[in-house]
Amino acid sequence: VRVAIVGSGPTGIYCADALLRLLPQARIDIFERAPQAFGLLRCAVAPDHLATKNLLRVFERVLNKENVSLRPGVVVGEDVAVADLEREYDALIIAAGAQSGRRIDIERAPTAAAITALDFACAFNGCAVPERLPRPRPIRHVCIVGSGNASLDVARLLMSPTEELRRFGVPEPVLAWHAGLALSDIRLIARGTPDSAKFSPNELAALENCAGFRPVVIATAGYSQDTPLGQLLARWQREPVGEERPLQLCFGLKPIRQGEDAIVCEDAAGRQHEFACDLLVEAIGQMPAQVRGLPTDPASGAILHRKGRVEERRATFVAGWSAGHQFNMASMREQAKHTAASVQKLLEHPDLV
Amino acid sequence: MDTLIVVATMTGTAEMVGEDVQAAIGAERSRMVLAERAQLEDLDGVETLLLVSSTYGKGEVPEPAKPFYAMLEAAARLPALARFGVIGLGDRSLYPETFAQGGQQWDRLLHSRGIVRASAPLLIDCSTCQDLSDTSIAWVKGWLREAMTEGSR
Repeated sequence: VRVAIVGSGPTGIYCADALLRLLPQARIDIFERAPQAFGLLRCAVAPDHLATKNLLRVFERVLNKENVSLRPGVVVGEDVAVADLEREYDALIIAAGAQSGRRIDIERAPTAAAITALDFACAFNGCAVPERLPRPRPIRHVCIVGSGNASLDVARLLMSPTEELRRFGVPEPVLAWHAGLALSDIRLIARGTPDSAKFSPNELAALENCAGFRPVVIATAGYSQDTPLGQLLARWQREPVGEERPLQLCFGLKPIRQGEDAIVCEDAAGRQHEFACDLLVEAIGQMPAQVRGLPTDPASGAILHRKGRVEERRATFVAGWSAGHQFNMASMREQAKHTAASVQKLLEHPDLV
Repeated sequence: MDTLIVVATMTGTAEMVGEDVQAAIGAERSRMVLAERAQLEDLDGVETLLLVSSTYGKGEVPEPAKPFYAMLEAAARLPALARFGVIGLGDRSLYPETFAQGGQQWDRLLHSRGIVRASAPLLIDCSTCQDLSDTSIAWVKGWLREAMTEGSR
């Protein structure tokens, strides 16, 4: 049995691992568009998250199995057609992951400096050309838009001492960029209230350990203090801890315009607020990678499927970001078991499905 | 068969540790099984039981391992094991309050089921430790020595 997997990120690797448990004799080819394997684990997980980065070794083990082979630098849909893979293999799993960060739709001055959280993380992981990090002028004020853990990663990396980042393998040109920062404040801007924020309370609490900064909470609307997140924010609001420079957490604000050195946001009542901003980081999620030759939902960018199988295709499956799902590593591993079971069922009983 | 290694994992890290520990003990003297596929019969004829477990949620054992945990808890009687040990993985940087509690849960459960603990659990902080397997293998060697010693009863 031969199976092709498109993408060597967490989804693709977990699918290969799960498949080999069910079909130990299967031969698996993994197509990867990048020169190196492991997708978002290598490039998007912050370099200082060592507990997660330990998984690189777990993934290498899957890739090193005798009947698994990696085809790096191959873009499926361009270098090789999906239809050709469908002909050549008994089953195909599309696990192409997320390729680009979503941008916020605002008016921007031509000189406004901005980067997505994904590109930012890629640079710190050595997965992208460091020239992507904007250097408009001395960067004193950074605004980060988004209320998920990707925002917290950016804030934490900005606040970390440069020397500490060196320990995590951040490339030299990026360290030089980091050492040149002249931060006086960082602002996290969330559209919703704290109740709708997706920060994990533990990751948020860890920001307290960043020397030199003091978390400040600015919430225009009330919020529940029954949740761990609400309790933490209320405590910071009540009794600010830490040192001089503010790390502001602003809730209930929608960015509408970015100028050369400021950003304008609007609150729920329509009032405008202007903040100093030399660099805007957009951390509002990611777009699934496009795979030419497969039906795609234009709004979400995900591949159209029914219970993980691409419609009107015999043996083409889809998982992870490509299927429109957002997973953490643990739930991805669980999901991969289902995908593998579907593939096994199809291969063993081709008439039933 | 001397040692059974049961791996309770969410992401595969504990499994990697379990594989390396098993390779170090040797295939003729040990066997590894994922908790998510384990049955009580796997314990038959086992002398020493090693649990390698990560931690999930609010200090719980990994979700896929919960059925096996419940089996151990509910079994009227367990096969006569001589000794057990636990390697617990956790992330102290992000979860200081529930650090490695998944491993500690297995430790408490096996102890309460009347099995003798050969050594106190090894708890590893994955946010600082970069050689999980080497750390575990070094501990396992001492644990096995303890397990063989009559005096540790």
